[in-house]
Amino acid sequence: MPPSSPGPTRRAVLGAGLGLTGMLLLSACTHPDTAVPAGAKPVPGGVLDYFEPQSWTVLYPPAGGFYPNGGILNNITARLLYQDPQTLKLYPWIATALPRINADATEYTFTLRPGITYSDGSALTAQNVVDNFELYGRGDKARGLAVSEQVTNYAGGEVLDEHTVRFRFSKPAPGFAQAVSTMNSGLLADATLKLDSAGFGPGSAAKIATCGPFAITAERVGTLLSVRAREDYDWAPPHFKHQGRAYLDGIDYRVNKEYSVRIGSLVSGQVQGVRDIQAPDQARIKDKGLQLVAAPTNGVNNNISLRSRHRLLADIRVRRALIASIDRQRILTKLFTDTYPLATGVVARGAAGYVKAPDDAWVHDVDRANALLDEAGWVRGADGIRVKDGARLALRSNTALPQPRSKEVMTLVQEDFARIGVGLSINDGDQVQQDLDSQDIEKVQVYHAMVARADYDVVASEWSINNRDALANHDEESGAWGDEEVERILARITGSAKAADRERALAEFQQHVIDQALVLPLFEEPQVFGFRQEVQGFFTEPVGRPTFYNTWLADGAGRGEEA
Amino acid sequence: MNTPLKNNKAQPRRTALRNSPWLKPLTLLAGLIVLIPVLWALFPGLFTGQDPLDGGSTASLLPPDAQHWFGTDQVGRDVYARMVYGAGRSLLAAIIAVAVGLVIGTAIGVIAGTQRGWIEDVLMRIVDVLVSIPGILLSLSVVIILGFGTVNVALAVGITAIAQFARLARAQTLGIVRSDYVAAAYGSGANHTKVLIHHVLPNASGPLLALAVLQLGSAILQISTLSFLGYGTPPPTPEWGLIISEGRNFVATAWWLTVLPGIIVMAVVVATNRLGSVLREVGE
Repeated sequence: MPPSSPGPTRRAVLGAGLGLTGMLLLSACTHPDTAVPAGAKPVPGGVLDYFEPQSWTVLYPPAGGFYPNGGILNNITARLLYQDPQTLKLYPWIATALPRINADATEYTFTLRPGITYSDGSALTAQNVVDNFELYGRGDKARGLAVSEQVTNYAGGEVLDEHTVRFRFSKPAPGFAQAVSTMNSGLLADATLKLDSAGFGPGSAAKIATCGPFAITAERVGTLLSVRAREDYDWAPPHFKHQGRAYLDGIDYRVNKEYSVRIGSLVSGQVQGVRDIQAPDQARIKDKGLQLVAAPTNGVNNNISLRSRHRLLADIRVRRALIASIDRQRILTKLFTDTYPLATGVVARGAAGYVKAPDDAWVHDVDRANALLDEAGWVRGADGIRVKDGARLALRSNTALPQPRSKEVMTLVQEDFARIGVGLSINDGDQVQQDLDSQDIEKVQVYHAMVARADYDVVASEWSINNRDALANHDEESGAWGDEEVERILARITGSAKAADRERALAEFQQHVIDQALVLPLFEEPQVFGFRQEVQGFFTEPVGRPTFYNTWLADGAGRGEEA
Repeated sequence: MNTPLKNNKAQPRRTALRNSPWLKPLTLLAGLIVLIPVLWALFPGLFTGQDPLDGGSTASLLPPDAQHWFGTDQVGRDVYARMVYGAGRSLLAAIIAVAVGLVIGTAIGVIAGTQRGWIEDVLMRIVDVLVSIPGILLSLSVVIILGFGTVNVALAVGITAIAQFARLARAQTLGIVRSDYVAAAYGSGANHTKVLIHHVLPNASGPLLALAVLQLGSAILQISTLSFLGYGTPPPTPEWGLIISEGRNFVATAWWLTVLPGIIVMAVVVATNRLGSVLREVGE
């Protein structure tokens, strides 16, 4: 063996030099991005390449609350009504006019537009519309299809004539008109209504027939969903300037969990759009001349719920201590930009029923937090975590994967809790694991979430035991409640006929969760998209899901896959 | 084969020292590179005054500077402090992994080499099975069965190292049991256990220890890989693979989160390999 290793050979030097040159040449091959002149007219054509951070899970419209699902459903389905994203005003779409509503909001009558067909060729009929809401309003346990959280107190639907349908409710359902405008009430063809939950899941997407401007044409499970424009689509909301077929030929929804891959693909021009641009990259996106779109979600703010039914959180002093320990401003300063304003209420400022919370509602005060825990009898153990009667004050939180930087938010909360002697472990795992664990109060006691919907009912969507039950408020087996009053107030929000009553109930709900230290709103969460300059005419529906009907590509070429 | 050590036997002592592979600059540098994380692991407080778990009000994603040598991470924690405090867990896991491979692998190899017959066949076929499964796949399977966490990851990586130790131990044992001094030991009344402990193991230990040092580098890399994939220590406890994994979303905006810890891991792995090679060279 030679006493020392020889130096780099000529071949190695040559190889390294060629490699470096190759990398430099390749890096110069990025797609150029040029600004589109102001006032340019939309041109049809091109497939938009668009990246999502997570794969869609189910395309059953009531499950459209999950952003990757909603981003697809919003573009492939049509609804009875259309809600303007800015004014939140309702307009006719598949219905010819706004519904006729009886005095106590228990009957809604819609007249339907004629000549509408689904992507499988079948016609949209009055019976088909009733059948849609029979499924959404009642669900079908045998097929694993849940009741829509937006269609509450549903009592039945009936066909009045060829173009008129009526829906009845057992209690006032003031949110129904808005509910039929969301992608959760997207209309499905008769054959699609017969599918079970697996039929709406990955691997079966091409079977789903809808009547929106785009229709699903191809799918590669976990990586790609292709939708293409329907040439015969001619039933856009009548008040739209743009009528007829969508400008785009289609959209390729790509999925990659690696954030750096998604952002790199946008910057290099390999894709034209990306959802979920994180705060640290926003400046870079602007510097590169790309478009940054921060769409408000107009719903419940990004928040943390403390599950009071759990023995460690049953004492209100513990919950108050935890809320006082969390430094919301530090979270915002460290992790986010100005596009994420500090929450001043349970719902966002642009949401229906917003009421500014009192200034002293969620004050960060570590001394007070420590004093509250001392008073409650929790003393610091050898490892710094407080103990009482042999129990450690160690909690567990979920990771809200659809929410921006949830893991980092909870890491900072973890630091805040550690300062007052409270342990917090952060649940790892994919969306399915998070969903499963979050339903079990023994696994998750601190729940990070947000829900978007431009209606008063949004708070019920997040906290009612009939919907997402973020507080895990009720145990059906034992009958135990965390806070029964929460459910009573939520029932008034969803069941009052008058908007003023609903607004009052929402304000009461906010005050109750402040008094009982059940919820800490963190910030108003936007959906942040990045687009190449050639992408024009993009906007979102009221809660930030992408709407591609009016989108067009300045170069008209696009770069989608054959589908 | 003539080794530099053997060639130097006849040389004056000073020349022999100068030619010793242990004193070559690269070896000394490798030793220093390995020594630093060992000291980090033993006395982390001497190397940094920063808190590895709480960034306080420090801004996130700060670039490296005099105060934060490796910058700050996505929540404002000092990355250098996290590397220093993470060294203990990462190195301990590597040592556990190598120890598992060394002890179990050597036991299998020595038993197979001395017992022969069907026992040897069964043991070495098990080893063949272990060799046939890719290391990362095997360790992933083991860690999923055992559960996440540093010790479980270390055990998983250790299991993947058993085969190499077993094969080497068997080969060494086969040579030793045929030697005259072992025959003499049996002739002078020594029993099987005595021969194993006093003759086989000491004579086989040199190559096995050299392999152990070589495996240390590989174990650090494998453990970092598994931690990178999220199977190791749960956050916020610092661990090298986890630190790199947490920084990967910011490669374009904060390269130091992945590059600097990556260089540390790479340097320690290369340095450990160098020391292992020297140990093998000396043994030969």
